[in-house]
Amino acid sequence: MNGRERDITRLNRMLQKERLQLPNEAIELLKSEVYSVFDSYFDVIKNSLELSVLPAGKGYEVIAKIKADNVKKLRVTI
Amino acid sequence: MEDGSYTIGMARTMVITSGKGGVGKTTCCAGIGTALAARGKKTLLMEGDVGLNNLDAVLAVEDKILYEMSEVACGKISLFECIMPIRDNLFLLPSIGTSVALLTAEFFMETIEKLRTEFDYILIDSPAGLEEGFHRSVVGAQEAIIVTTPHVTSIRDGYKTSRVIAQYDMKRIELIVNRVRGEYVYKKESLSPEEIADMMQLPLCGVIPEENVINLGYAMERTVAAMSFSLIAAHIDGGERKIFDCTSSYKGWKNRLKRWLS
Repeated sequence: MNGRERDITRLNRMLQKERLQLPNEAIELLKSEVYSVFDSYFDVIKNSLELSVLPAGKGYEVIAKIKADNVKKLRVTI
Repeated sequence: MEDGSYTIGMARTMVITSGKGGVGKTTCCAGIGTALAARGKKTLLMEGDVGLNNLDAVLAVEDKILYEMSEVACGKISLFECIMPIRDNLFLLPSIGTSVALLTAEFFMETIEKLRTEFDYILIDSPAGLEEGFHRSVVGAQEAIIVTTPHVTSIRDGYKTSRVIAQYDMKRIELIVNRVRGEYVYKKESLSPEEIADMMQLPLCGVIPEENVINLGYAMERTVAAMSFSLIAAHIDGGERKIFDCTSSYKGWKNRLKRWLS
């Protein structure tokens, strides 16, 4: 991969991130939905849910990480 | 964005901005202004970077400034006394960095409104960053030109700036790619201006090649950069779609032979 190709890859990721600007209310809503789903299966430790929205290919992926009493580590791509 | 119509007898007001510093905003402002003036358009260059002014230095008139904008803001002189003729059809509204606090966004808007019937074009040289100075420069403009170089940091900042500018009421936002190294673009070692415009989702207004004469602060007449500024002025003023091809001198066997012999 030469400098130009590397720049294209980096820029595509950077600008894709910039393009996605979810308002805080939307993130909070998403968090509460994800939390309620997890909470019905695991004993989720309060405020342990981390959500990240990252560029993936031409779209985005939402990654949820939680800590729960009965699981060691849980990372789910939505 | 509004439609692209302009009112006859009223100046088109354009802000030259970038987000990142050192990409050539001031050089572009002076270059485009000079090229528009050469087309017979009465053009005013307005110093938007009031604290770190350099438009006067790029135009080589730093020793000739008699009055500056803050003197207008505090009522010492009239606005028209402050406007400085540079050459035929080209004028400068300077700032030398004193009493910057007086030069508010409201002052800029009022000033531009007063001058819109006097000029064909008002070009505002914006400071780097997205803070107060940026807002002051953008608020009175109807069109924006984002300047970037082919570097990742500059493209990223330019893109962020274009997103912020889109929230203002602009008729048109376009892109200039400055300091393009034709040789690298030709060898596909550097991003082409078209690729950059595509990534930034902005229409390309012009391309300016890297030239040592600009860096050294020499006069720009008869340089390749001056030619590219003329093309940009023709695009802005006449709607012509001709973008400077910085790879042209690297194409073809004659050019290859010339370079090999040199």
